[in-house]
Amino acid sequence: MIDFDRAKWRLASLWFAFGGLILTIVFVQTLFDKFGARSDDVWNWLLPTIMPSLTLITGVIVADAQGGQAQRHVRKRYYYFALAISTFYLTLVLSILLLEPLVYAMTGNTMLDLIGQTGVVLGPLQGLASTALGIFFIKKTGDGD
Amino acid sequence: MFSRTIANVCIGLFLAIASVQTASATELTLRLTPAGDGGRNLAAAEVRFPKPGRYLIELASRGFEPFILVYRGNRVVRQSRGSKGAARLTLQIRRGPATLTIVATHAGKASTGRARLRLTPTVQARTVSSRNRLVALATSVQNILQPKTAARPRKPAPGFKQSQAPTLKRAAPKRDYKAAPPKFTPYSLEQRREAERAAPEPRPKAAARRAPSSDNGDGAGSVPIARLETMPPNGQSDGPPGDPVPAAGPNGGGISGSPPIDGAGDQPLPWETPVAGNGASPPSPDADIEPKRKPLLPPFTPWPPPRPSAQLRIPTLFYGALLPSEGSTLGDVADLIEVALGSGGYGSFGYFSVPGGFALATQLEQIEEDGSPVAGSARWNAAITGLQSFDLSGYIRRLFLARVGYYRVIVFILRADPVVTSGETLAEDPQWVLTGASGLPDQMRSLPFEDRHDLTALIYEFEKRDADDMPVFHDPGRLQASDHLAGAQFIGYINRSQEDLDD
Repeated sequence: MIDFDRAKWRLASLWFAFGGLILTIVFVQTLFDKFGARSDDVWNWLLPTIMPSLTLITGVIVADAQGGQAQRHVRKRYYYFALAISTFYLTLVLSILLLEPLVYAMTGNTMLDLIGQTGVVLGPLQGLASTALGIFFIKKTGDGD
Repeated sequence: MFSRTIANVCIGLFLAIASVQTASATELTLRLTPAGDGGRNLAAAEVRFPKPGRYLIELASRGFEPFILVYRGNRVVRQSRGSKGAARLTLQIRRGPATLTIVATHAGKASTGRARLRLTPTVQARTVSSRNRLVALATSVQNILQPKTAARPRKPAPGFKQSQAPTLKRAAPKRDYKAAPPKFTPYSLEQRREAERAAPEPRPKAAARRAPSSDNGDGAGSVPIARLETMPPNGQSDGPPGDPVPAAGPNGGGISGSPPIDGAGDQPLPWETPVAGNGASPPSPDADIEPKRKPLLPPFTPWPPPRPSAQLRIPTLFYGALLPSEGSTLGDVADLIEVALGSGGYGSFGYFSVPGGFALATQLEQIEEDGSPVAGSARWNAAITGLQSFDLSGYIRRLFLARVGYYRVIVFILRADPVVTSGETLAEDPQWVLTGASGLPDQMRSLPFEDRHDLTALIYEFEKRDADDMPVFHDPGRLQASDHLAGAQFIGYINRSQEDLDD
């Protein structure tokens, strides 16, 4: 077993660090008009990609802050599974942004092409990451739930 | 506790989903209907673009392969590529407000299905309900999408669409942007002249050609320059109706020029050769009555030339010393231009007749921001170049900034009068080099070059962003024409040759 609050903050830190970095990159790209008239397409891809999980984590943190602070625990396997799948998923999303200039130089594929091509992989992975997070938050013990 | 968490999560999700839907756009649902006999099923919307900027037009349908055409009045200014499920194009409005008609139709088999038209950002749009207007549009669309000509249209380079010529008079050679241009070995004018002197059948002397002659039938007779100068735009004669008009090639411009005009007249033009029959086939009974005329040099279309991004009149003083001291001809000037451009890596040119002279167009090339050509084969590739080699500053620039490709076409016009361009602008690559002749015909080469001839360089510059479908014409251009000519090595070659002469 592992302390739930500590594990929760680690997961939250991971998601907010990666999510913040990804959102910042795309925001700056939008400011510099990198995507032209198609910036909507990029945001329409990005927000559903990371916002649901960020919202889930934020909701749990806010709810916990309003409730009692009883000592709670969660199985390590749930934590590590959520941590691993989240890291893998967020790394993939970030790599799409960071590797795009290199991919274009080699293949001619633009950001929008990459979004379309990686959707098949990222969709199921996102589902997996959300499930892992959900299990992690639900399976905690010791708070009376 | 848990229920409160779930409630917070739901609120968060709602906010996230709501933030996705905040993109401002105008949407219309269109139902394709048949309009007129033989017309195409279509629907149309009149759209008012309130201000200059880029607008994204998307047409989505599940029932058919959607296709978009954008009309300004009765003229097509843009069309989408065929695609499954959705068609899209980006429109650059330079001066607003502008009202255009967007036609939604099917690229494949006929359909009367529904399609959703989405315009980003918001514009004012309403469906066109006028029957007459829809019939006119349907006929026009049918002509565009199913040309009656047997000639097969070329596949355009990625991002550069084929112009909408109403008819194609002759098949143009295939063009491969990705292929490296044919290797061009510059050689000096002296070498060329020596080669011509050594030829077994040298051309008649320029002085002899200057003498007027009424005999044009042998194809090598003299041509009064006055006859050449009275050639109106597009090669039409200013004489009575029915005067000879060379059969025009494909409409070279991205703007819709006049359609090619067929005609047969009495007097062959200087660059026309009467041909009876067609190769080995037996001559037709009418062949000796009214021989067909084969155009040796297609007319430059559209004429007057569209407004360029930059233009420069090149004084004779600049290059005159490189021409033969006596008896210079238009061919000598053409050779000089070709050799100068050849030193800059240009390998193919398109020649056209213009009133009182000729035009020479280079092929579309990709250039750097300073006007110098992009290195390697990417120069002739329409795809925007990516990182050539990894360096951090270049990577960061490519990460955050839009990739922009700059392209240009240079047109040299040599004629007895100054060039006055039209107010029209190009919408896309005119592909002049494909539609022009590969060289000047002898009849035109031999015409004397005189002081009153003006050499003008017109630069047509385009910009393309990788997120956009189509290149955008630069009006006005970012650079001076002299910067372009310096980047093309034209000015450098002339200067070096002058210095060699001085030495």
